[in-house]
Amino acid sequence: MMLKLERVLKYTYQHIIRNGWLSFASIAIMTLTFFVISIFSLTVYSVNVVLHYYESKSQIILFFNPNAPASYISAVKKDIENTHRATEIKYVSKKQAFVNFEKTLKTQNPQLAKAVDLNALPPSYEISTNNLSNLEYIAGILYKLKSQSKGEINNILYFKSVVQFLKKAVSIITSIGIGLIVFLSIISFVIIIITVAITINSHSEEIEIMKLVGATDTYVSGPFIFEGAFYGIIGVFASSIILYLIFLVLNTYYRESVILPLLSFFQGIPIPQYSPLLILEIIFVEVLLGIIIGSISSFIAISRYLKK
Amino acid sequence: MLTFKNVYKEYKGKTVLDNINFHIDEGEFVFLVGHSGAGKSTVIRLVIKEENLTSGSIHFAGYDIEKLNKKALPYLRREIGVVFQDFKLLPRKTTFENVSFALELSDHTNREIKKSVDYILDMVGLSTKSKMFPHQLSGGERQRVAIARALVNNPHILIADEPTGNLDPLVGWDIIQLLNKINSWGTTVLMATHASDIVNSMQKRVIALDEGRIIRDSEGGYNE
Repeated sequence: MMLKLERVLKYTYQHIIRNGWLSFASIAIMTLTFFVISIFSLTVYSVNVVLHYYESKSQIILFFNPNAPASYISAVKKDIENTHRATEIKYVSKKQAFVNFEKTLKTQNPQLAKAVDLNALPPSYEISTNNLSNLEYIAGILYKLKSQSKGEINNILYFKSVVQFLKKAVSIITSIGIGLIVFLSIISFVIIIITVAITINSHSEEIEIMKLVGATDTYVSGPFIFEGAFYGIIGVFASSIILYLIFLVLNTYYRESVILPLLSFFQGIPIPQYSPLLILEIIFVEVLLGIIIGSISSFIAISRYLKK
Repeated sequence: MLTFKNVYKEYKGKTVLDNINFHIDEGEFVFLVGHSGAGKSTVIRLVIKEENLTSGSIHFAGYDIEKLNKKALPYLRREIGVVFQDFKLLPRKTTFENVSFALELSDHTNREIKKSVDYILDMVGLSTKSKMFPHQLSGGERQRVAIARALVNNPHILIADEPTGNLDPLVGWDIIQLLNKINSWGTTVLMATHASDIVNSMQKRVIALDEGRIIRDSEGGYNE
C-alpha cells in the first residue's frame, strides 16, 4: 500500500516536472479561480459588515406627549421588552432632551435656546435592534399602541423607506455575491476538467502503453488525481500570496491616496479584524476546496478517458 | 501454453481471421508470417485482448482470454511480454524507468526492481544508457529497451510484432539474435514478421497466414 502510494506520488512528481507548461497553465487557472473567489468572498463579507452596521444603527424614536404619565411610559417599555427583539431601549427624559437641545442650539442659536421651556420638550425612547425585520416588527407594535393611545404617544420616527432600502440592498448584494461565487466555481470546475483533459490527451500514448504493459485503471488514474489536487493546493497558496502582495503594495505605496480616504469614508464602522487565525482558517478551507475541485475534476476527466 | 481454437474475427463485416487453430508449447520459437493485412497483428491483439474475437476460444497459461473481465485483464498482460514495431516506449521516462515501470505494477520492492532492471539492461547491452530518454536513443536501442521491458517480468511468452520492421537490416539482425538467445534460456517466443531472410536463416516453426487463414504450419524457411 505504502509502496503503491510512494510510486503514485513519484509519477505525479514526474508528470508535473516533465510537463512544465501544461502544469503552469493548470496552476495559473487554479490561481485565477481562487483569486476571484477570494476577492468576491471578501467583498460580500465586507459589504455585509457595512450594511449590518447600518442595520444595527437604525432606530425607532418614540415621542411621548410631555404630559404623558410615567406609568404609561414604563408600561410601553414593558411591551417593547416583551417582544424580546430590542437590543437597546434608551429613555431620553424631558430633562435630557432639554440638555441635548440646548447643547445643539447654544452654538447655533443661543437666543432661541434661552426661550425654550423645559416642559415643552417630549420624553422619548430610542429603540435599537440587531436587524431590520425586528425593527419593523417593533414599529408595527408601536403604531398599534399609538392608535390605541389617548394622546400619550405624540409621534413615531421610523424611516421606513430607508430601512426597506437597506434591507433590500443587503439581500440583493448577498444573493448576487453567492450567485457569482457559485457561478465562478462551476466555470472554473469546467475549465479545470478541460485543462486536465488536455493534459490527459497529451499523455494518451503513455496511458495506452501503460495499459498494454498491464497497468490497472486505478494505477493509471492515481497520478492524474494527485496532480489535480496538487494544482488546487498550489493555486490556493499562489492566489493568497498575490492577494497579500496587492494589500501590501496598497498599504505601502497608496496608503495616503487609497487606504486612508477609504477608511475615513467608512468612519465609525467597525472594520472587521482579520486575525492570523481567521486567515489561516480561510486558507485551510480554500485548500480543502482546491483539493476537492482539483482531484474531482481530474477524476472526472480521467474516468471519461478510460471509459472510451 | 497458447492455444487458438476455431478463432474467427470479423471487423466491420469483413472476415479478418478465418478459423484459426494452432497450439504453441512452452520453450518454442514460432514465426507468424504473411503479407501485410494477412492477420498477423490481429492474432497478437487477440492474445493481449486489445481486441475481442468474434467466435472460438483462446487459452493462454490457464486463462480463457475471451471470458476474462476488464479487471483481470491487466494481470494477463503482465504475464505476456510484448514488443511492438513502433517500440511503444513511454516518451517521458528514461530507459531505466521504462523497464522498471513494468515491475512496479506488481508488488516488487525498490531494491528488487533495481536489481532486476540492472540485470536485464546489462543483458540487452544498455547498462550505460539507463538514464537516457527514448528520443536520445537509436532505433535499435529503443527496441532493446522494449525487449528489456517485455522480459523483466519473467513472462510466459514473449510476443514480438514486426520487431525489426523499423530497423536497419543489420540492427534488425542483432535484435533477432537477442530474441534467439532469450528463447534458448527457456522463454517462449512468438514473432510476427514478413522478413523472409530472417525466417529462412533461423529455420524455426513457421505459421503462415494469408487473407486470415493458416496456409502452413511447419518448420523451415519461408518464401514470400
